[in-house]
Amino acid sequence: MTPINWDLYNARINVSGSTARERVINKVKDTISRYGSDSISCKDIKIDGVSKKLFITNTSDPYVKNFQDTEKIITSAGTLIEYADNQWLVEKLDVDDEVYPTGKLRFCNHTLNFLDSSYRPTSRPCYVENTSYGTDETGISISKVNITTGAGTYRIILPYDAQTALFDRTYADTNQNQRIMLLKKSYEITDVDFITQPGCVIITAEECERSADDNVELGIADYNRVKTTSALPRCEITYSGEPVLEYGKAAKTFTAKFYDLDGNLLETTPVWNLVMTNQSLLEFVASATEVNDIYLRVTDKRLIGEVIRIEVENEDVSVKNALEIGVVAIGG
Amino acid sequence: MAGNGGELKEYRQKILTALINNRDICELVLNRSVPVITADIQDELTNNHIFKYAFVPNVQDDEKTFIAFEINGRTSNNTNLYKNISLSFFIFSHANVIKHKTGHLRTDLIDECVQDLFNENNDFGVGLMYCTEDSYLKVSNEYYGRQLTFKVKDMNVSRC
Repeated sequence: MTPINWDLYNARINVSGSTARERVINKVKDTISRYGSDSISCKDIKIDGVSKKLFITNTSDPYVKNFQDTEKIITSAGTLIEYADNQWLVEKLDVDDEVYPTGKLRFCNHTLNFLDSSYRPTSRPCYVENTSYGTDETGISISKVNITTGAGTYRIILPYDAQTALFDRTYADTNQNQRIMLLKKSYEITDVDFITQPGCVIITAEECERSADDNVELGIADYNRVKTTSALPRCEITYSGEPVLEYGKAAKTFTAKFYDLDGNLLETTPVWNLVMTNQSLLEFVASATEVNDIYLRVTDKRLIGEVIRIEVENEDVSVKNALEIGVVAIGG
Repeated sequence: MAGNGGELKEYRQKILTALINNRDICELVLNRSVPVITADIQDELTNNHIFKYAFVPNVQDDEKTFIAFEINGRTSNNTNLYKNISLSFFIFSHANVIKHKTGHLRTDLIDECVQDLFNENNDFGVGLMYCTEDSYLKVSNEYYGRQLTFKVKDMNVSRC
């Protein structure tokens, strides 16, 4: 008689887990993975532009959703999610992910513009609420009598990252109060909280007078506080006439010019790259480079109506620029 | 060969390309030496001196030389398989610049260049293109020149 292979037997009966508890958990996970996509709660979302699936359920507040992350795609609170054509902030993420992580999404009702550490304009979707009147966590008035805490006091919840981590009550260099802009009004930061909601930055700001340094058009407070803002290294692409290539004409010249922080022209060898939606069409673009110039000529009428993107950067890729040029019939 | 009207844009493309890539025509029209034909020279010519439609200058325009052309078609032959296409060139100069340094009329020299380019040319339609008319042209009191007509047969329908 052949002896029983107990190892194989054990492996078979423990395939779904070695304990009853483990088996229950694995069965739930298996059921979700098999039938979860049929659920109406299974939504298409994007994280960093990549399509994913997430179980999203409504709450009594349309601007707050609960989620169940069965595929463990959300790694931390503060993650921004594109859902239903809007940005949502992962405000809370449960650390208990034995079956799957759960958490809370907050609708981003605003985009905060500010200067990054290199004094370049940047922005983050955020949730902004008016706290001029006392409210509890659920947004219900604490008291029947409105308590005014200031003329326009706002609480802004942002994702925590390398740039938003720099928000503080004052600027490190001048000790002046840091300020932000919300819808053309300026606000002074009175508190920055990195503790209450891990993964998020909570800013409290009070309305203040607008400064001459504020850029209302860009919605950035203290835009001109640091005068070097406009003197960053940059690259320009110059050409004559319109940014078009006419099929049938001689090669058109595009020149890359690199400037340093002080606006001085640099002798830098540009690295050119041509990009088209259909890259195979690039075989109909004759190109040659010489010093800072690139010469482009269209060799086939099939390119008429197409767009060619010229990308240029310096050798260490620290400065780059791009230009989109259309291809048209001659004399067009 | 084209068909269904597609020949219009094809002919305009080919004719304008041929004109602005001909150094003699560039020099005669611009009234200056052109050692190398560059994109800038071609930009200067296109829609300023050379037009891909029957352009007529305004009285306020500078004293310049112009070449314009137009296309006529859709004249079916008996079998309806082919149609007759005619190309008309309008070459005219302001009276003040019409005389070339050689003593010839600038428009006559351009007329010759255009015929060199397109007479018995087989890049258009089916078979060779022939010049069928070479007559004088009076655009206004100050603009004179030549009108050239070429004829060629092309398919009346699309090839496929």
